[in-house]
Amino acid sequence: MRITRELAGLLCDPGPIHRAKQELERLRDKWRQSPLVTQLLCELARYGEGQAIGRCPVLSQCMSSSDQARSIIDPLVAEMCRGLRFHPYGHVPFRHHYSSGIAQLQLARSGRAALTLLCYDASTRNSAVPVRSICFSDTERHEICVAGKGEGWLYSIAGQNRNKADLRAEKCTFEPGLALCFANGRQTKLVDAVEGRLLILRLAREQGVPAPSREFRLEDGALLHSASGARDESREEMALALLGRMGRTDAAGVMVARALGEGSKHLRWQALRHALAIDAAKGFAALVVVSRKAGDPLQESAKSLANRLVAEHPELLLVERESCPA
Amino acid sequence: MNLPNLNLDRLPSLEDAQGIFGSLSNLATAAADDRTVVIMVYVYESVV
Repeated sequence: MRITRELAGLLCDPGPIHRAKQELERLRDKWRQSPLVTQLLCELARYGEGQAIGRCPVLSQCMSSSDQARSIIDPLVAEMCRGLRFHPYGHVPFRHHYSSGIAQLQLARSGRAALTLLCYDASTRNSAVPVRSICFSDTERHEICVAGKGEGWLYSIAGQNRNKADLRAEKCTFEPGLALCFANGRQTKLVDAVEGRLLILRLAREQGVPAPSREFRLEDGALLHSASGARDESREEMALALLGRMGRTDAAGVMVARALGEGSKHLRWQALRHALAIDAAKGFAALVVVSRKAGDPLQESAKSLANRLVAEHPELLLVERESCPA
Repeated sequence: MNLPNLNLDRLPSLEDAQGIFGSLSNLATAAADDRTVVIMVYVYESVV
């Protein structure tokens, strides 16, 4: 990392950094408190709780008209640029991320909804590397092209059997005024080439119970990968794995409770595995319960695993008998 | 009760096992489709 004289000075005297932070946060709050943005944030809160976008007029207009979108974006950009002119080492006080030619600035978030500014630049796609797969996520998205130009594709799933999808592709030119809606996990877009920059405002809302994300090979529609659509579920799965790796035998009860509870069969099965590994007695007792529960989506898998474990470790029969003395 | 230590690696996953949120196949390129935007939010949510 290159440390300039100015940066070195800030290490010794953090005062300018604090002043920059205060000023940029003041400008952010000034934008938030403007009448149009205040209304927008109220509607975002309702939308984030499940209200239809048609009942959120300002939000709906922003997502269907680039001029309306710019009436929200332009004042914010102007304020931030003004602030950064006087405080060049200031930190723009919005969640942001840049990777692989895509910059993201999260303008607001409420409940299940988020309003994000996306900027694609020319390095978004390396044209020498062909795109070989496309991913569909179960998130409701509304997008409006605000500035710039790009080329790409709109993909949809026309039909699907277990491991293969019938993919349809439609060429698309992304330019100001283009409004897109991806209502479910069967539609998505891919930006293939950008002239300079492409700026898109996106409104996204997670589903209450999201379906898995799916990745398909473009060549033949083969399902390449399926991933959980629920962040909380994956967070819990990683926590279970970590507790298991740490050898936390006191977590066995929690794992068993998750395995025997409601919810995702994938998470429940991982809980069973980790419970078995951390405490064979408790884990196997839970496995037996699941194997005997009619209608449980894990019943057959649990039966198969229980039979295999008993064949390998006959002493586990003692646990099975204690689970069902009759 | 003298029970065995069961090896996690020998306990099978479900046949239709799915990856964790945001995981991708080996064929995935640096994403210009929409998966990156969904993942970004996940990372921040984990940190907070």
